[in-house]
Order: sequence, then structure tokens, then C-alpha cells
Amino acid sequence: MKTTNNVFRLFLKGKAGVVGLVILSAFILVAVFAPLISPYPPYERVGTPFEQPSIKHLLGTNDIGQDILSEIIYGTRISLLIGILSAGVSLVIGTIVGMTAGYLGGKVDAVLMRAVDLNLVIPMLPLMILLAAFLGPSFWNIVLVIGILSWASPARVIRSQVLTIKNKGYVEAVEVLGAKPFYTIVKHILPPTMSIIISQLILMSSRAILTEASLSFLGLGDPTQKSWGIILYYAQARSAFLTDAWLWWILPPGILITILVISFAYIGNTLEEIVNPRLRRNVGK
Amino acid sequence: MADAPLLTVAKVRKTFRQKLRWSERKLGDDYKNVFAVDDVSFALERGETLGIIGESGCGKSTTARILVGLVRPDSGSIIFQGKEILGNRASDVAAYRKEVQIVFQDPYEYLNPRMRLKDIICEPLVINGNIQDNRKTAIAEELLDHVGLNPPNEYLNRFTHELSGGQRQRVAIARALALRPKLLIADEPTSMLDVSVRAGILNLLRSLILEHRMSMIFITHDIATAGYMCDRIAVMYKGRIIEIGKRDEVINTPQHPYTKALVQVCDNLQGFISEREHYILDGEVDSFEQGGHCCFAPGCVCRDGECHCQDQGSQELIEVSPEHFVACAHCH
Ligand SMILES: Nc1ncnc2c1ncn2[C@@H]1O[C@H](COP(=O)(O)OP(=O)(O)OP(=O)(O)O)[C@@H](O)[C@H]1O
Ligand SMILES: [Mg+2]
Repeated sequence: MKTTNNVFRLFLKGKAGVVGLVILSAFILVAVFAPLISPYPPYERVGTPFEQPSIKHLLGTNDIGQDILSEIIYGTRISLLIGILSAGVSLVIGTIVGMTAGYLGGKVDAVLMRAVDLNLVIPMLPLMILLAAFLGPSFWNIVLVIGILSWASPARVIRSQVLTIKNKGYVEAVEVLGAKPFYTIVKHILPPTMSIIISQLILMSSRAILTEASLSFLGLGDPTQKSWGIILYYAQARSAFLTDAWLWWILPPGILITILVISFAYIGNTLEEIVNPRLRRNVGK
Repeated sequence: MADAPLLTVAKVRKTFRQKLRWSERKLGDDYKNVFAVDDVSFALERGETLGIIGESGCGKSTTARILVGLVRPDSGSIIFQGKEILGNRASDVAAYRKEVQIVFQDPYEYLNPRMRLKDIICEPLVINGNIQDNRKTAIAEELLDHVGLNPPNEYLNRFTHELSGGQRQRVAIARALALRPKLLIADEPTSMLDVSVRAGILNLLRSLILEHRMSMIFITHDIATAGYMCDRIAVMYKGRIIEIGKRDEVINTPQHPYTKALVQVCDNLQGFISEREHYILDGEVDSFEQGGHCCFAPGCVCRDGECHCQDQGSQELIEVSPEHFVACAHCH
């Protein structure tokens, strides 16, 4: 039996996962302690527009004189939060769909899995752009748009795990005792699926952060809650690409997005290799 | 036994469709039918133990799974205490499920490895909504004690991987008893266990049956075990019951050639092996494709290998002596 403890020990032996965890922890610390770390309030005009980096403003100021470093530090909060929340939404939907399809099987399964296939072959970004534009820019709209359109791949992974567990004798034994499907799912199928749900949550977070950045870069983000993507959008809109300003206005958030996404992916992949038997290599043997 | 039987099973059938391998496929036919349970009928009195014996794949487990509602038969009727449970009255089915419990073959598979024994044993009561949390320990202790796991408080908080196979099977029995069922089905409860602990489990089952006045359907492939446990024995072959009767009659005066072979294997293995051709021919023992004739025909040695049952269209059992029925009319 694979206990949580066990998963944790195996995880520590996979180097990529540990690296990811360290980086992610650093980001989380920055996000939590943003008010303490950032030199200025991010939404106040604390300098003249378009200042170059200096001791006062390490990454210069933007077009209306806000401190870019402070924007980026606070942006960590928004980017992380949107990423994790949208992944949460997609996992809630994905778990319900995957559990239902896997447990009920038959026609329900066939229909739901066709929906999953459809969801996986349609390029999602254009659809998200449309939907986000239609709903209007707000924090929660972005979370919902990303969450609602990316449940398919977790649903599929969860379904296959449910199929494995459903055929175990002990699930059958509970049916004989007269258990209702809801009871069986919650008590006997959900617990051994939990580790897969968590690894999917982390993988989906990494994707969601990237998607959020893309949507925001296109101007669909919430300008009152500046994420890294929105910083990039303004930089782009104010022609930072055409001047030296790209060095301190565009490069830093771009690099941070990349690092954050990679750290999530490292953690998620390592976890998934441990908990998804079909992917298990010799992690930590 | 003047009143109606506890359970009456009549003409129950279940055909599985199995996908054929590529090499076996014919044009337009990717499936073959497996007649797992083919027209099975029997009755079970209160307090009686009926043995079902037969070789691997003859449909014993499928019969058991039909009886506990895990498999829905294609046709037939199951009447329990006067109520048809294959009808669509959900309340009847729910009530039936509480009265009929099963002990499965594999104690390693059928207990959730993530649960403590206390929770496993009380689960039937939790599911059926008649237990308070603070009563759990007392009830679990009583049941553990009942199935011979002593001292019970040592076992309450264990997980199944801390138990031996025999102990697990005792836990499974305790769980089956929790709802005080009227009928216990035991599907080869000892076949996965060490020989050394088998007798213990068999004796436990027997004493529980007596103590609680339960009926039991005891499935096994071993006629000696069946002889020890059962009042009556039914012999299954390819999804059909080919002989059924009182234990002593079936064992001492077997009528069907297949039963004769089984009894001989058990009595005198040496003799059976050296004179195998006198008892059974090597035929396919899958429950596929059958005509209306005797299902044993390909393996039958009666009348010098020329089976006269071929033209027997009837599937009715013939009563050879009181309460002793056999399928094959020509072979005795
Ligand atoms: N779910 C299923 N789908 C397809 N075929 C099945 C299914 N369950 C059982 N069968 C087939 O039905 C036949 C009877 O199986 P069953 O498990 O009832 O045999 P058994 O008498 O219990 O054998 P054993 O002694 O090995 O337990 C077998 O040929 C088996 O392959
Ligand atoms: Mg079986």
C-alpha cells in the first residue's frame, strides 16, 4: 500500500521534484510577504514615468511612474493565485467527470469521454480568448475561463484510476453490503485517487499560470489586479520593446513566469511518476 | 421444514459475451457466448447447507454473484422468503441484500487495505445506518471474538496487511455476520488458504451456521470438503446443475458419470489416474456453444464412448430416488 509518507519519501529522491519544491516555496514566500519585501506600494505613482533602473527604483518605473519591482513582487501573488485557483476549478470539474465516467461506465462513460476527446482536440487558447473577451476582464472571470476549459486531461487521468479501483474486490464487497454509489465513491474510491488528484492539480497549475499570462498579455486580464502577464501587456502597449526598457520591464516578469511554470511542472511530473503506476519509472529505486 | 423454502432459484441464466482474439474471429462475429450459468434451479431450506461443486469455470462464482446481486441474470427468478427479488421493487432488493451475505474466495482482495479492522467490520452497519459511533468498538470486539480472533482489542485497530490469510478470512466472515444474515454464501472460502488453517475456517463456518440458524450455500471444487460441510450437494458442469441430492446419496451412489469421476478422484486418486479413461474423456471444459443435448457428451465415457444422450433434448433433471436428481438419463 502506498501511504502518503511513502509518496513523500519517494518524492524526495527525485531531484527535479525537490528543485521545483524549493523554487516554488521561494515564490510562495515572496507572495505571502509581498508587503514586507516590496519597496513601494505597487499601485501608487512613486516616481516619474519611464525612469531607468537606479538605486531608488531597481527595475525603473513604468509609464505612469509606478515602481516595476514592486509591481512584480505583488504580481507573484496574483499569478500564483490565479494559477492555483483555476487549476482547482478544473480539478473539481475533472474529478466529478472522471469519477462519474469511471464509476458508472457504459453510455455515460462513452458520452463523457467523447466530450473529453473533443475538449482535448480543440485548441483551447482561441476559445479562452473569445470567452474571456465576452465575459470581460476580471480576476474571477479569468479563473473561471481557464478552469472551465481545462478539465479534460485531469478527467481522463482520474477516470483511468477509478477504473482500476472499481474492479478491486473490496469495492464489490461494499456493493454487496448495500452501499450507495455516493458512499462507495467517497469512502473507497476517492482516497486512493487523492494522490493522483493532487499531482494533477499541480500540473494544471503550471499550465494555468502560463495561460493566464497569455490571456493577460493580450489585454484580457484584470488591470486592477496586476499579474505578471498584465505587466507584460502594459510594457508591450507602451512600446517597451522598442526601447531599452525591455531589459527591465519585460525580461524580469518573463523569466519569472518561466521559472514558476517549470517549478510546478517539475513537482507535478515527479509526483505523477510516483502515483501513476503507468508512468512509474525507477523513481528513487 | 414444513414451510416454504428460504430461497428458490428457478431457471436462472447468465450468458457473457467475450470478445474473441483476432485469430479466432469469423466474418461478422467478434464475440463468443459463454453460458456461465445455464438454466440453474434449486431450492434451499431454512438452516440447510447446500454445496455447489464443480471444476474451475463451471459457473459457481457467477451463481454466487447473481445471488448477491453483483451480476444481473439474463432471465430466471429468485424468490427469497416468498418475495421475487429480480423484480424491480428497490425496497425488496435492499431488504434482501441485508439478509444475504457472502464470503469471497480471496481474502487479500476483498478487504480494503486502507481501513482498520474495526471500520471494516462495522461497515455493513454504517452503510445500513444502524450504528452509533461509540458502539462501534463494542460491536467490532464482539464480532471479532465470535470469529475466533482473540483477544479482540488487539485486532481492532490493525490494517489487513498485518494479518495472515486465515485471519483475513475470519475478518471477512465477521463482516458478513454483522448484519445477522439469514443466508451466507461462501465462495471457495478456503481455497486461497494454507492447508493448515483450512480446517479452522471450515469449523468456524459450521459452528456459526448452527449457532445463528443460518442457511449456507457453500461453493467448493473439492467433494471431500463439500461432504464435510453440506447437507445437500449440487454438482455443476458447464453452467448447469447435472446432479443434486442428499450429501450421502451423491457421494455414495453418484449417478452422473461426471459425479462418478469426481468421487473417484477423491476416493482413490491413484486408481483414477491409472484408469482415467473409464471415467472421463478429455474434452473442452469451456461453457461455450452447446446444443440442446447433454452438456457432458464430449467428455462422457458411458456406453463405450458413444453417448446416447446426444438425442436427449430435455434439460429437466430426472428424479432417480427421492430428492436425488440427475441430468443424464442413460448413464446409470
Ligand atoms: N464478467 C465476465 N465477463 C465475461 N465472462 C465471464 C465473466 N465472469 C465469468 N465469466 C466466464 O464465465 C465462466 C464461469 O466463471 P465462474 O467465475 O463462475 O467460474 P467458477 O466456477 O467460479 O470457477 P473457479 O473455480 O475458477 O472460481 C468462465 O468461463 C468465465 O470466463
Ligand atoms: Mg470462482
